[in-house]
This record gives sequence, structure tokens and C-alpha cells, in this order.
Amino acid sequence: MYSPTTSRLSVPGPAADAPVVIDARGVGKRYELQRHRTILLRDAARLALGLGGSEREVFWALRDVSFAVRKGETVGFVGANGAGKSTMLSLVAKTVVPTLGSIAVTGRVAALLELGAGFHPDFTGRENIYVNGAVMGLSRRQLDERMDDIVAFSELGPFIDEPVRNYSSGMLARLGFSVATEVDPDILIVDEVLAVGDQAFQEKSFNRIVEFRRRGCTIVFVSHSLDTVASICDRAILLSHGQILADGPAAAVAHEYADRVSRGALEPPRSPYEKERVPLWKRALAAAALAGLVGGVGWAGARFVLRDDAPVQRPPAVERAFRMDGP
Amino acid sequence: MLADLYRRREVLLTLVEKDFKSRYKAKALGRLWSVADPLVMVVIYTIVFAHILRVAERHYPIFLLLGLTPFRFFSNSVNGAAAAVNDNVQLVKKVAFPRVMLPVAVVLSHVRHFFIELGLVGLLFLWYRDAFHASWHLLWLPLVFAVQLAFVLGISLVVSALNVRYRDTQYILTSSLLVLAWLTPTFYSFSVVPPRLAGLLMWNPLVGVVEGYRAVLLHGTAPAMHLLGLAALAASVCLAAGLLVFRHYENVFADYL
Repeated sequence: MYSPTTSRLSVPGPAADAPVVIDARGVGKRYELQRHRTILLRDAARLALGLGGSEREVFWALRDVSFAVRKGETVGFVGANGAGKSTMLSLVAKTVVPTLGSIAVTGRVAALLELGAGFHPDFTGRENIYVNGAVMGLSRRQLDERMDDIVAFSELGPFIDEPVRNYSSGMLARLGFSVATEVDPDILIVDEVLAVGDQAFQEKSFNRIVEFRRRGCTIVFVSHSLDTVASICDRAILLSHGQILADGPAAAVAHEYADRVSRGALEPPRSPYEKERVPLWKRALAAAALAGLVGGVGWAGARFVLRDDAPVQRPPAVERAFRMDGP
Repeated sequence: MLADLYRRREVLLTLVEKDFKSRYKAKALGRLWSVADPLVMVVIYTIVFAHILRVAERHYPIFLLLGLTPFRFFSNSVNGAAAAVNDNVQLVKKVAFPRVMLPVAVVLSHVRHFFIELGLVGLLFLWYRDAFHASWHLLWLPLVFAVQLAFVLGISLVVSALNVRYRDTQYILTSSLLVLAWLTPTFYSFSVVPPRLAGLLMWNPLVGVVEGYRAVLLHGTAPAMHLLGLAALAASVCLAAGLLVFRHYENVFADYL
């Protein structure tokens, strides 16, 4: 049986009247299953021949999810693998757009998801800092100013001017963490990243996240460690099969999650799988594209290859070689 | 969408720089490669087309380069754009930024290559002094370039977006580029195309662009207005289509990567 540890942090929670910075309303996210995905030519051919599926199976990673996060709150998402936690974080980061509903996010977001994976292998650590920092919204000048801090925090020393293809995974994670936390986010999204790096770096990153909290930064957090969630977060949301099962004080939700796992009571009210008709216009468009392709090549072949009416001119060189009367 | 690009031009420039640099990283000859390729092509194509097949054009190397360089700009940009989003999976999945920057940065980085290759044309003009015509018609060049850029951008946007959703775009693209390489008057002049084919071929905006460059630089005349006008029309349609298609698909990029 899970029992929450006492909070390690003495950070006061946000005021109850703090402004809402993340407002999710009826959010649903649907994915097409890979095996049902339209593949342009194959599907066009099938349609032209009058074969094949007008239905596809879809999967709802999230369904009818609503919650609001206030400024300064630290919210943890918990749940089994595949519950929709990471999809939820991507929606908050605005890298994924919901299929249904809306999600409003106010302020600069920095995401610590899959650290360092966005780096270009042939570029040096420093060059990658410029690219990543720019994309996250820092100007060239701000990056120049913060460069020393970023390099210092990453502890990469002289390796910062080596191509990152030669970095170890720990070094990549350090660099990624250093850049992402240097952009002064209003909202920090953290997905299981404390598990990378050595003990000392983990401690350092953990402290930095706590420091962000102290500064009033809103943090959205995903972890499988209920201890971490209970100690860092004010509040937790339990997701199961894309739907919210519980939302409340972190320790209580962690408790409920552990309880439900032991009772095997994580079943969702609705199955996440559904069948859906492929819209007719898509099928028609695919068939038209194929017809155009086949028709075009066929017409050109018939007109220019099968009808042998190209004007014949003897090349000048040949003509000269066969001329008998000499110059 | 384009206003977005201007507002965040600093990011765009960083991405252009990244694309430009990444092509030559870890390569011993570095930037030399960007002129080595066209140099080899000029030599071999001049031998084949001017000396074996006897295409009757004066100053064939320049004539050829004025067709080859715009076409290479087109095909390299489109090929690069096809991979622009797919190659930056982690960036697209991790950070919210205007996705349109990825293909646009690729195209802009190829604009740089285009100008480097034009430098080669400049060198050839130094060699064939009598080929160059300095006249007021040179003022047409920015317009020809604008038509070319609009066309390249439009196709690049379509291709980069479609290639995320339908991976077979890449294959369709490869064969389409081959077709277009021959239907663009790079090795021959558009004036030798028989009328029944010319009516079809001139819908390719690159015809107006290539013949525009040749008219101004090589013949010292204004571009053929019907060709350039048609090219401008087709290029605008392509650019509009590109923006529409990209906007339609950019929301689902992360779903398919």
C-alpha cells in the first residue's frame, strides 16, 4: 500500500484567486491508427478499382478532458502507460492541436520533453544552443548574454565546442536541460527528465525546478514516481485511457491512484477505439489524382511515342561523312 | 502566416544559417562543393549538347548555366523542403514555433546557393566578354527572380506539408522532378520547341524564368512578356496553394511524425 511521504518543500501554494494560465475545455485528441492511414497512391488505386475500406479505426488518446491551472500552481499528471499524460503535455506545449475542445495557454512555455533530442548532430554544443534557444523564443542578444550561464550549468567545459554527435546521452541531457531552463519560462513542462544525468546533475536539476516554483513559475509535471509527485506538486490529475478519473490535492490523488491500481479499477467509462467513415471527398480526390497521373502519362505516351511522327533530320556530322563529292 | 515570419525573422535567420552550414559540416572540401557540382555539369553538358548533339546556341556554357542554375535552385529547394519538417521531428514535437519557418528556411538557404552559382555565370561572362549586354533591361531581373522565388516557395510548402502526411510524396516528387528537368529549357532554347508542344510546356513557370534570364543577360532584350506573364500567374497560384495546403496540414504535423 502506498503512503505519501511528507512534503520536502516549504513552498506555499498559489493564491486561490491567481489567474488561470492553462484552461482546457472538453479537450479530445484523436489519432488515426497507422494501419488505417491513407497512403496516397495505394488508396487511390484501390478506389479507382472500387476496392477497399471506407471505414477506419481511430484511437482517442484524450477524451473530454477539462481542467484549469492557476499561475504558480504545480500540477502533476499520473496514470498508467498510455493514459494520455504525454499527449496532455504536448497539448499544453502547443505542439499538438486538439481534435475537439480548446486549450488556452498564457505565457512563455518551455518543455523538458525528450531532452536534447532536437539537436543537430554535426553542430557543436554552442551552435545547438543558438538554434534551440532561438526556436524557443530567445533573441540572439539574450542568448549571447546567457551563453556563459548555460555552458556553466551544463558543466560541459571544453566539450561545448565539439559536435554533439560525440556527446554521451548524459551530456546531451545536460545541454538540453541547461538551454530549456534558461529561457525564463512562465510555464515549465517536465516529462520524466529527472531520471537522466548522474546523481549530482539530477540533484541540480531538481533544485532548479524547485527554484522555478519559488519564483512563481507554473509547472506541469509527469512522473511515474508517486513520491516525487506528492512532494513536488500541489495538485495531481489521474488520467486513465484518456479520461480524468481524479483531480485534487497531490497526496490524495496519488493515494487514489495506488489504491485503484491495487484494486484493478482503472477501466474507463468508454472504449478509446472507434470506427469512422473516410470522407467521400478524400476518396474522390485520391481517385482524381491517380486518374490524372495515369491519364497524363498515357496521353503523352500515345501522342508522342506510339504515333511516330517526330520530324527526322539527319545529324550534320552523319551527312558530312556520307557526302561523296568532297569539299 | 508570412507576417509571423517577419516578426520572428531572427529565428528564421538562425534556421537558414543552420541549413546552410549543415550541408558542409564534416565535409573535407566544405563550401567548395557548392561550385564543384555545377562546374562538372557545365563541362559534361557542353560536351554532349554543344559538341555531340550540336544544339545551335552561342556561348553555350552561359546559355546552359542560365537554365541549369534556376532549375537546380528549384529542385534542390523542393527536395530540401520535402525533408524540412520530417528531419526536425524533435524540434516540431518539442517546441511550438511557426512551422512554416522550416521549409522557408530551406528555400532561403538555397537562395544563397543560387547566388553563389550565379557568381560562376559572372566568371564566364568575364571570359566571353562579347556575350554580356549591359542595358536597362537588367532592371527586369528582380521581377524574374520574384516570379521564380514565388514558384519555388509555393511548391516547397506543398511538398513539405504533404510529405509529413503522405510519405510517398517523396517518390512522386523524385519522378516529377525528372520530368520537369527535361520539360524546362535548360539544354535547349524554348524557341526551338514546336508550337503544338510549346502551348503545353509554357505552363511550367520555369520556362518564363529561364527564358527571362537569358533574354536579359544573354540577348540584351526584355523577357518575352507572354511567357513571363504566364509564369507569374502560375507562380502566384502555386504560392497561394502552398500557403493553403501548409496551413491545412501544419496542425497535424506532430500527429504523423
